Amino acid sequence: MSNPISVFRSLCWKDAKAVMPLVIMAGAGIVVFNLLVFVGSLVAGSPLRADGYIMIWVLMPNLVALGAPALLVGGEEESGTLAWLRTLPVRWQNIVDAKFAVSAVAVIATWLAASLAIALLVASGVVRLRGDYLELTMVLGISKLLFFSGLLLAVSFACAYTFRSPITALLALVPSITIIYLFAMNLGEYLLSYQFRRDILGRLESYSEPASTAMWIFVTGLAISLLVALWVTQRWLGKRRLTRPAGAMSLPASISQSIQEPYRPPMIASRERPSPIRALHWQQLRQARWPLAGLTTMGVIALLMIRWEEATNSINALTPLAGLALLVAAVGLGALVFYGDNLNHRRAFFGDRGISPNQVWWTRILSPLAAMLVLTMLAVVLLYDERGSRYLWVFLPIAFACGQVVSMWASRPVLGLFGAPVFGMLCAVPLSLFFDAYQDYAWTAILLVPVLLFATWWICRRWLEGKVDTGFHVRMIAISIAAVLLPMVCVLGHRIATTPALNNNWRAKAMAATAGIGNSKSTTVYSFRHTSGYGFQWGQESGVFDLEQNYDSLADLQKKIRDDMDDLYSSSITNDDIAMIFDPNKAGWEMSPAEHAELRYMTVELVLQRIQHVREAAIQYEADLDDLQARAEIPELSVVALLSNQPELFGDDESVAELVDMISPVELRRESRIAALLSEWRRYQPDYRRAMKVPTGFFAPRTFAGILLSDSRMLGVEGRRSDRYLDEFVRVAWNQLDNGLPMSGTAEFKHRTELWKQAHAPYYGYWWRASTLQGWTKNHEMDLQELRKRHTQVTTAD
Amino acid sequence: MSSVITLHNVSKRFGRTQALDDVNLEIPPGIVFALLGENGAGKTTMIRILTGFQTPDSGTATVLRHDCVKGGMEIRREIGYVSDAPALYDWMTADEIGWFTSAFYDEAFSNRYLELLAAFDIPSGTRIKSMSKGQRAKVALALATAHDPQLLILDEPTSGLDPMVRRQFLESMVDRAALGRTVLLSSHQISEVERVADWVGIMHQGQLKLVQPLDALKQSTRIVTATMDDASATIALPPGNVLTESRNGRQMRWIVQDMPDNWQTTYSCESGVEDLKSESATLEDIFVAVCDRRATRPVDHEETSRPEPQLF
Repeated sequence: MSNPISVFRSLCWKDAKAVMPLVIMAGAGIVVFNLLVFVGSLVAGSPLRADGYIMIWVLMPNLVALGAPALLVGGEEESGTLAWLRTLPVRWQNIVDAKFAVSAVAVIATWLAASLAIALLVASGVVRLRGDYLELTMVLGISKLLFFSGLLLAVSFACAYTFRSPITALLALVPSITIIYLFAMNLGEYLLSYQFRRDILGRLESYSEPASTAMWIFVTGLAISLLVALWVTQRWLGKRRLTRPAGAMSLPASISQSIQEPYRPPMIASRERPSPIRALHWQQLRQARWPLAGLTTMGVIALLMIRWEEATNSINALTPLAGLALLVAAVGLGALVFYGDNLNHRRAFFGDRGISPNQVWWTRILSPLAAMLVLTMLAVVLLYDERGSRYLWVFLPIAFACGQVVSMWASRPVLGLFGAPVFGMLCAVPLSLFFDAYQDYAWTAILLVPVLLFATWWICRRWLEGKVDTGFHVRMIAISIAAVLLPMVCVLGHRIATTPALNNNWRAKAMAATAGIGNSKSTTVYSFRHTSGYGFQWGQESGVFDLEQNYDSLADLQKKIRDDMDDLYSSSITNDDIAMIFDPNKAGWEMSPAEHAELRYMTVELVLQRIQHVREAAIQYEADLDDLQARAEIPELSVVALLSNQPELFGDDESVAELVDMISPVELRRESRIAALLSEWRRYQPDYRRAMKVPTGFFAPRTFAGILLSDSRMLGVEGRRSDRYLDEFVRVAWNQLDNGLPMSGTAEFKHRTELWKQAHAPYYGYWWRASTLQGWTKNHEMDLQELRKRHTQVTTAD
Repeated sequence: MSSVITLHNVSKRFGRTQALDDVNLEIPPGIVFALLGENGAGKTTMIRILTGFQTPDSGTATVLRHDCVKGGMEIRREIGYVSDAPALYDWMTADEIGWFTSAFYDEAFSNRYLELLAAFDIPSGTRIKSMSKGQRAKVALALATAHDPQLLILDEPTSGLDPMVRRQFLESMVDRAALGRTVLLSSHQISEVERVADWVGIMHQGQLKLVQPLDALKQSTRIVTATMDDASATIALPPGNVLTESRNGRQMRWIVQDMPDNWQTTYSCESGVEDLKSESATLEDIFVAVCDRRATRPVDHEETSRPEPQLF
């Protein structure tokens, strides 16, 4: 009698060898993903958001929990070794326990590796965890994740022992794990809830009081009991599989095929001879129909759930599961494409007969592709109007394309099922890092799909001929890299192609116009940075403080306003003060309407004086474009709006007319804009920055009007493109200042805005793109003209 | 008449293993050609080169006038090929796989296939996965021959089959040759080859050691036994191509090819030979003589026994 310990050890060794490719795949995934994240963070120059990254941490161990049972049971069934094991003098307990033990160790090892990776990245500041994601790394979050992995492992084994086909087992697993996990989570939450304590235990304690330690211990015990129960269940199912005769768990005898069917002499072929395409299509549909139907149904249900959640705004525990199920459905449809022909190398049937690889490829891809297109169209129809999931449809063809590549590539079909998500993520991580910068081009990621489809078409002949050798793998790797690079190359190609030509004539003219800038007092003008700026309006909510908290009395405030008028570089009256003065709820003190109107008059007078001062400084190149915008243009817009719409705030018409008269004249406004625009452009030029020793280098950003446009980390093409578009933007704006500003919303206005948008290099300026040169419109000029006309008439009438 | 298969100076190496070493061969139409060799002799490599699955390192090969490197697909479409582990969609019934495969061949395929199923006693409505190994092999053979190919290539087709099935299989090969079709049969089952083959080629360590019509080979190869009066006495080799020699006490035994009719004159009364006799060699004797690595061969035999390319 052999030693049971050595038998168990031998079985563990065998199972460890079998599961090793999956663990290596997961390990490689962890290393590659984290390296990509590290590089991405280095390029971005800031910590990455953890939303997507945390999924990698969670995904890999669970992929092992999902795949190990399929490999150790389904894979062994397909290769025939499970049947061989039954012929050996080995107890079924040893076989079942060895498989579970090896899988559990593999899952734990993957968790440790993935956790070590995330710990290193978080500790080094590469990744920053936030909110719910941070909670996942706490004791409770980790306990939940480990509990889920344990459930997944046990339920995967139960399904693998119950169903002979790994795909069927996988399809059965999705609803099973969903139901069990939701049941367990809801039960746990209910047992720890206030309602349970009040309704069942009859305790009348505070709602906010947390559950007792005893209750936590009870719930933890319950969770462990559930895991033990599932472990026992999978063990029992393993016993059934390993000890019962084959077929005992198959279809009922009445409908299963009888081995002992009596010989029937064949008649003349009664069925019409099919065309090759029809025959191949029939064969693919027959071998894939049930998984195809199952995965499509799963995808449709997931889509409907997402739609329902979006429509009702009811994000709950099912939300991530629905999204995951949808992606699993798409990847699974892809993985189905060549799965049936890869089993037991059945594809050699075609290879041996010289059947056209072209026909084989098309007929393999057609039905899963059709199912995936149905899902994609449904995703577009159901989710396109939902902001959160609008572009979800893009991921479905990508997931499908990755799945079909791996289904051809994987030497072991079962491994292919679980390799597909890893391959998908390997493609997705560099693309997501790239498209984080080029968000407007994110849709081009779909170019990956035709390349990956081409990959399997191109390699199909070698695959059919069984030439899965180094050449096969090299081709697959090369085209996969090409698939990932293609969207990037197209984006960069488009960026290069749409970069405007260098306008030397205009640049020479602009350089000549700004020749005097070198005589200005400083390279970057900070004289006004401490003074208040930006807009204000009547009734706008201001800060948390009241005027009484900032000033002793009304007289004190008025004195400070006068002091500021005397010294326009002073900043006693801040933007917050101005906002509070125009906020009816924060005005402070008991004031008569006349006192109130006078205070507002004085404030606007100060603002207008400051505007005039900034404009004059701009002409002397002592205020830059950012100063002009923040401290002249935007406040001026506010003043014009107030004087036009609420003149009653300032007392009589005469006061209003006086204020209107104080608004900078047209010529000063135009000249200050031209001077600020051109001097800002000149200061932006590299030769000027070098001459003035403005900091440059790897992390030195280049700003225009206070807004980051590019830096030296960007590709040369992006820096050049940004510079050229900025030239165009400045040229057009200057031209408009000379020949008349455009009305807001017109083609000219949109053109200028688009040029400004294009001047931003990737990573920069997504929030600022539309908000430059506010007030540089004909609308503002007309409002001002109208205001002047109205109050000049008033004065004349008086 | 042009050859169905030609190989000229074909060599193939896998790493350190020389799978085929400068092989030359031409096979005419209408014969059953048996390729004999022990495991690893290079038979499957040669067949994979002929069917376009493998590219030779050097040399040229054609099948039905198609170049094997460029025309693998055409070759496999035209011939019938049964590998040592034929791939079948085992979820199909015998009927279904015939209907399915008929799509790739001519109109007559279906009827011929059903006739073959009937001849092989295959229940047509049974799923292939429920069939015995012999039944699966018969389905594979039926599928490979139902389009009546000019050339049928079988790689170890009968390994693991019971004698009844083997017999049926081999008879069908003879029938095909009788119809003018060519069969290339790779095997190490010498007895079955002996029953059906018209020509044999013996491969050993990647080299085609011997190619001859089976009858001629057997006629030209004799086993010579000489009993001597003293166990330590030496004796001259018999005339002709001596493949092997062995000694057992006073008895010497040679396997000799192309021995002249007057070979006995070599041994006079003074030679110490008490008894001298010659008998026909079986194919197994010849095969062992060629392939047995432990056999004693007369000096320089290796260099002289290599056959020239056999041209028909």
